[in-house]
Amino acid sequence: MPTRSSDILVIGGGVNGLACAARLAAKGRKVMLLEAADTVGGGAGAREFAPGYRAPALAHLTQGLDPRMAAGMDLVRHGLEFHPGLATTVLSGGDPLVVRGGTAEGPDSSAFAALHAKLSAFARVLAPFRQMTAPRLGAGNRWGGFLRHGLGVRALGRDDFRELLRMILINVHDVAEDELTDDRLKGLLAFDATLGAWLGPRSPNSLILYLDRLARGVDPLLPKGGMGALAVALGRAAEAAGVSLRTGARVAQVLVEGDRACGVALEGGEEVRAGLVVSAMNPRVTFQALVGAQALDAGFFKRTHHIRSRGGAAKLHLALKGAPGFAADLRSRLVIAASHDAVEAAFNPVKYGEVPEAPVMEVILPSAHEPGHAPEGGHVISAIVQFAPHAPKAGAEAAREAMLEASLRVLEAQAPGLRGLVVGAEMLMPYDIEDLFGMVGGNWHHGELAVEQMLFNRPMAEMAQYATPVPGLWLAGAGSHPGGGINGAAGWNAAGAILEARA
Amino acid sequence: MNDLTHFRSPLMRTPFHARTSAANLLNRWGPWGGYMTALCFGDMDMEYTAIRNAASVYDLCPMVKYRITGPDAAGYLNRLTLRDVARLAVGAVQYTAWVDDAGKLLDDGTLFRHGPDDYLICCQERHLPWLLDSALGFDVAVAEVTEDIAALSLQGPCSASALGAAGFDVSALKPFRMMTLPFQGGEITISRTGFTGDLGYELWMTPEQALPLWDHLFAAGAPFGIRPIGSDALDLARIEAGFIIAGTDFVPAHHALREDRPRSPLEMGLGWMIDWEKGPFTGRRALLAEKANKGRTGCCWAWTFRAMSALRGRSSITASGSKRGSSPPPPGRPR
Amino acid sequence: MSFDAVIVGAGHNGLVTACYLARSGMKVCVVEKNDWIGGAAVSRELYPGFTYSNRSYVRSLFRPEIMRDLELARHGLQILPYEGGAVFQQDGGYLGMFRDHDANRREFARHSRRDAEAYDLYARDILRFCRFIRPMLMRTPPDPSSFRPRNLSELLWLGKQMGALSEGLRARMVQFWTMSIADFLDEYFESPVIKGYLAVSAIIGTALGPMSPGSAYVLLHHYMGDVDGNVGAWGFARGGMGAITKALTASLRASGGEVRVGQGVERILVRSGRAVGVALANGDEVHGARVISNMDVKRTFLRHVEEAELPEEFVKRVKAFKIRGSSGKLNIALDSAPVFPALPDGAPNIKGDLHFTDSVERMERGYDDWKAGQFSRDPFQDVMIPTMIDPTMTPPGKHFMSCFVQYAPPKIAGREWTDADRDAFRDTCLDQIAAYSPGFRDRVLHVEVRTPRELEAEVGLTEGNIFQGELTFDQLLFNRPVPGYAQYRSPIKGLWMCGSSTHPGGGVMGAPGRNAAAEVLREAGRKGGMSDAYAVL
Repeated sequence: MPTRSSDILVIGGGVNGLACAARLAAKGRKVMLLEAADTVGGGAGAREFAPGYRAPALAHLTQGLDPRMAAGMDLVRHGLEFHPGLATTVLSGGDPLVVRGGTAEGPDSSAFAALHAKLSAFARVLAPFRQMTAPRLGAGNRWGGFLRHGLGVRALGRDDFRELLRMILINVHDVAEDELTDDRLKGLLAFDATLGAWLGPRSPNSLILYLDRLARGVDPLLPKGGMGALAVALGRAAEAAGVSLRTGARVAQVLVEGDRACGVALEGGEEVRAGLVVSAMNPRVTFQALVGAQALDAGFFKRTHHIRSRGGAAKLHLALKGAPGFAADLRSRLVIAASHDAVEAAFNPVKYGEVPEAPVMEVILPSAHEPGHAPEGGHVISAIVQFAPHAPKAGAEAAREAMLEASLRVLEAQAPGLRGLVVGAEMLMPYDIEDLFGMVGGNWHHGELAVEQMLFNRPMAEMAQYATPVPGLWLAGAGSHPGGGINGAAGWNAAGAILEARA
Repeated sequence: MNDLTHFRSPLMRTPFHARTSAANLLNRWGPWGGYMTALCFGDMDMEYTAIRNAASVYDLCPMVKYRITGPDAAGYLNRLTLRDVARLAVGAVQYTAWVDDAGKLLDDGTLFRHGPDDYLICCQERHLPWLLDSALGFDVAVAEVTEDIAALSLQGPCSASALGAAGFDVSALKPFRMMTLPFQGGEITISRTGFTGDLGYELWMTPEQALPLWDHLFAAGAPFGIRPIGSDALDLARIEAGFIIAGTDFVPAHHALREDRPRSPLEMGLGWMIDWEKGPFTGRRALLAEKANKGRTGCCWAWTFRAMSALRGRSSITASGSKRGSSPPPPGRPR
Repeated sequence: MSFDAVIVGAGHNGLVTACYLARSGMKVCVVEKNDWIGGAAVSRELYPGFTYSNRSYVRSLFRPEIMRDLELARHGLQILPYEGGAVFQQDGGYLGMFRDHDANRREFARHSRRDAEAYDLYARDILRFCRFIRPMLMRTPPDPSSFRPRNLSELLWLGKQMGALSEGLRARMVQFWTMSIADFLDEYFESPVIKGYLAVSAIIGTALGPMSPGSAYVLLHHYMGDVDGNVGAWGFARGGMGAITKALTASLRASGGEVRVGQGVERILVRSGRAVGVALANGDEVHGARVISNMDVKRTFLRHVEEAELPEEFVKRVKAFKIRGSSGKLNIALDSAPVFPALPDGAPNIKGDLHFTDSVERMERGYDDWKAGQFSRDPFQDVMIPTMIDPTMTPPGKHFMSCFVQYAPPKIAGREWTDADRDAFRDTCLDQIAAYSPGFRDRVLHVEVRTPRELEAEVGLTEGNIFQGELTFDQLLFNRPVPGYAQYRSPIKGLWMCGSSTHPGGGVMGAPGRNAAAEVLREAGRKGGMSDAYAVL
């Protein structure tokens, strides 16, 4: 039997769900947010993976929160503070190289500065597109904002505009080759462009991912108290905005009656009714598991299976009993990628469901920034390791083991003696990430962030403006424009679209 | 591997080929669904006359057949097709149609319910990808059985008598019903369906039964003027009756190169079969929107058929688009 | 004497441009460094009695408008459609292709019933995309950064084309243009060998793998041909590919044009910022009011024009133009017809293209080798035996086999190809064929091997790239070859481009040559007897 009724139900308490719920509540809507886990935060939560050692469960940095969300939810007031933007140290066979913002050391210093300036200019004019509902390619489009932002792009001037059109779908490998000579910088560029993506630096359409990253922010940020602190602040802010948070409530089904979404059924059978249901879950999960085929057109339902959602990133957590011997400031973001070719080589086997010999990775030591992550004297390594197969031919267990071994090998080479410090290790493969966070294929954007799944094609053309074919059901997760990455823009935009439609 | 012969016989032969080829005095053949099919055996006028005045036999084997089984079969078919499958009793047949998401016709066909969870779709076009895609999320099995079932269409005012003479008593068989009858130690299924607007039956059997049955039927039917007919004669009859064929009277949506070619059931005068109240089905939202916009229901074909139907006064489709009479449009169409 | 136009390079595009200009009444001279005419589309006798169609091998894409305008049929060109093809599988089986729709469906159904029917859906979607893109190939790309009326009206025309499609199809098309062929095929098919066969057109001639985003568009490029109006159908030219350039030359001469062979261009002569002719290797000069280069953009501007004459940014872009070769070629004279036991006796498939790559994965692994600077250890080969259709190319009973091989890098691990590399490459390819055709090696009379090194040295294809520049978005449309210079004009007045480095790119289609001629004629205020490019399928 239906128990409580709410004006709007938001499913999923990740960053986007919280952002959407908070914005709707702040506009006077009655909002209840349902989260399956015991705490909100989703990919931004924390996880005790070894006794006394806590690591960011999935995301360990943010490339910058959506500024509208950060201000609108007044996150600072709710306790969110960041460490200063992290510098990046590239570790490879040779000397470490430190990069901060657009400034790099080494022989390519000026070339990198010029490239950074050019790409930042592109990112700047593309950034406004992140903050709007994706345009439609047909009637009913709101051309105003699109044209305004388009003119912003043209305002780059003729030469830069031409250059943007040339580079918009180029691969990052060619850009690195054309503009840089230092393998370490080429490797960094290639790594950052393909972080969280399912493509290699040689794949066309890879530079745009780097531009998207720059549009979010230049240097990655680490919240004080760890990523878990961000989740706490978001939850508090949502509640302050009037959202009623309900954790431990796993949604089993979206109820559709008379061709309209009218609420959800929770696991256990309880029904919660609402005028509007907003899913901040994965779009594939939303339609395939929660709505179901019966209420959807067959072609549409089939196409939800075509939303490509291969995750290529694994998450490594190491509990160390001492400080690892990296030749770098342990408070920087360590990127281990010898060159752009090394990044490509790490991607190659993943295409065939195999584990790479020498993965590339981004390493953070939360314990180097503040206490509380590891026992006294100990350290926590949180690494995003690329690339990892989402459906390994060798089987889940064997692939996880091979991935851990390959990663330790790579780490040991950069920090000799590291293996001896390890007292606990956890390797979350893409399929583990899928199980833990409901991310299909372990893709943390809930659908690959790739050009063919961007803007009006994200997650599908039929629902790229957050509304779905089922009246009363909306999307607000990272699977929608402009994608994920601990940012909140998708949820914030979705709330805007719902308010505008007066739905 | 070396016995593959697609290139030696690009068109397949039906299980009746030995008889149809012997009877085909003109040697006039055409392709239909990958099979050789007789266009005319000797004299089209006399073949047409057999449909209207005696008994005619048409080789239906090339019709595409899909068997749908499983606990969700009824739910699956309800979402797939326009009519309410819940109303289809075991042993009954439904003339129906299905559309894509945009509400455009993919095909029309007959749906046979053989058992509680056992259905057979019989249609003009091939739809395996669509039927399989539609099965996502349903506990059903979809299998193409075209080659496993041989079929004849026996049409004409003497068809019941001919069957009776052959030992198949179909006097109690009502339109859109089927029954199983013994034949030489086995069984065949006879349904009271057809594509001519006249009294008629369709006979369903295994490929092994095909030739014995043909011989048996023609021997018993001789006094009733039974004769094999080709697609040309059948075409005359079905146009008179106002029955449409996918690929001829409308472009099936999955084959339309030009996006504006497909037609909705509303445009084709099939609006009567849409059950708006049965719950969600593929294309419902699009068809509702079309109805709300008044659509382009005045499409020339629909008008042609309606006018023709109204004039002849015997078809199932009237000018108002409602269903009437006891010989509604069962398809099983040629080419 | 002085010509109205001097065309550098007697490749098919140069000849097409020359023909149109000559038909408009211009005095035209084509200058060719080799002793033969035809650039990559030539037929030569390298083994006694055998005509080698030794570089390009199919008339996939040659535009029918051009064939009609230039009366190529009257000048001896005959196109023979081919009869199918086959992919041999590692398990001894095969997938055959048939021209007959029903036979083909039954053959595909042997591998997957679902795929056999899905093929029709796939073909429909591809045809829809082709219908959209074809008219664009025969037009000069607009410059989106320009506000000149002509560019604006072209952009408007493009918008109108888009406007004719449904919203869903627009979105789908944008997706198709940017995605990988592997992903695209996964949406339609389940059989690895069917996917492996269909992915071929997306990688031929490119430095992309089937899993590279953007490869789906390349497939469209290859499907644009229309033999008998079948989109995607390819055909042979009777007498080998050289028959096309031969017919073009005949057409050119009939219009009063001139071709000079045997002397390459040393320098393009530029006087006070204007191209006035060319200086040949032997010191001769040929003067003309305009010079039109059929050479690729790198060769034209980095080798034959003084850098000082060009804007710095332009030179930088030309230097960065991606023209990585990815393919090699084997031309084989055979003593007798090869047998492929997997095929049924008498199967027509042997008259088509034969492949040995039965999955997308094997193709992609071949690409991984290329990325690492090696030729593929398990290469993709597109093998054809044109003499099965056109026995006039060899002595009776003998056969000529052409193998297009991918992937072969321009350099081996950063160094030049050596003869030993070439031989290893040859053996890899021959071994692969022999694995499916017993006794194959004993039938071989002569093998001509063309690695990217030979393609560059002999044909002048920089890095051996058969498309004179890769077909990725950064080098397509208004970006091809250099943003701002996509309308066949170069920074130097009177110096034009008409090769495959320009829009719409490579493959033997003649469209760049025709588009370039249209631009030259427009500027000169002449008519060239150019029919409207038709857009209807």
